[in-house]
Amino acid sequence: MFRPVITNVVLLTALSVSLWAQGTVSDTTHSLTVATNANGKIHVASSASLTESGVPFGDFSASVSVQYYARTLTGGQITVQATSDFGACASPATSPSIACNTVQYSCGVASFGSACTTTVTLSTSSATSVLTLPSNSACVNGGNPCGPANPFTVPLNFTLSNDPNYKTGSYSATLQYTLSAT
Amino acid sequence: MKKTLATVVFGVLCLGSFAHAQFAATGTTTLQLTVGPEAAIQINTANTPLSTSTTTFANPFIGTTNFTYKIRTTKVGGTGNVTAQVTSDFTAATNGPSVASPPTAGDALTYTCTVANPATACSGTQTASTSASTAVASFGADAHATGNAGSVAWSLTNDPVYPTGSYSATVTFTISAT
Repeated sequence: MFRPVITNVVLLTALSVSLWAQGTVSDTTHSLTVATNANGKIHVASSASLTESGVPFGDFSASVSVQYYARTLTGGQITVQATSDFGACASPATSPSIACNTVQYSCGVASFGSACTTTVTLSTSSATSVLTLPSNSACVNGGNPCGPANPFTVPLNFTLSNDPNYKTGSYSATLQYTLSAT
Repeated sequence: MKKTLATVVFGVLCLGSFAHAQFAATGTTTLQLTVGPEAAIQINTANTPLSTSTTTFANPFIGTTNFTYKIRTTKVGGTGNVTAQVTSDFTAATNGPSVASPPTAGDALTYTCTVANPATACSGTQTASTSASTAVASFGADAHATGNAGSVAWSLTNDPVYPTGSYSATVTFTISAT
């Protein structure tokens, strides 16, 4: 009949001792160290439609917004390259062709980094620059810009010349954007 | 209660997964484009003077209007046309030259066409009209031109009843493609 009571007393005592022990520790020099590597990730809409301007044989154009997060040590960049083409390059043209240097893009103002300032010809054979990221970019604007709630953006506008020689029909090409951060 | 809690937690985890899945080291966009039939024309001779080479009424008043066209017609079953219509007649003066109401039966503004391929020029001599468009050129399916030339050679009857003076008419050219 007395044994359970004794047991409880012992346990409470031990607990109390432990609490006192924590309360007496003086520790004000904690250092939290997080190793962050240069990193980045990117998102673009899966498709964009090139539409013709209002004048006959006016250029086709499309706007694409590139969203990205980036943290750099020495710098970084976003590039774009066509990985599939509308059609084969031929003379005279029979279809739109990126390989024929008929697609150009221009950049709007980037919310972080330096976007292209001149019109760039899209290529199927090499990646062309969209944006350059500065060095030591981690959270330069505070924590939030590096967080998932606030990706950076850079708007791009693509134009395709409207050659009367293109045959009527539907065409598509795939662009791949790559973000590299070092 | 436990079951409900478990469901909520699972949902939150999935949401977080989807939100991050769309961001990656690379991203791809498919540029989509539909190329449709289209046509455009440019009149290079804004003012076409009509003149006659004689003073004996032997020759009509003649002149040539030059134009350049672009066209793209549908690959299968497409067509195209260039037409002309007098949208402003020469004059309302008594006995003056007129397309709609010539002073003498047989007076007419006529024309012949010359158009570079892939167009087919109008056949023979056409009579211009104020009430209907008349043929200048036609195109078949899968026709393409990036700036090809064409011209219309005008001829207006030199009727002695025309009062002396200057007259002008406006002709509207229209190009279409399907």
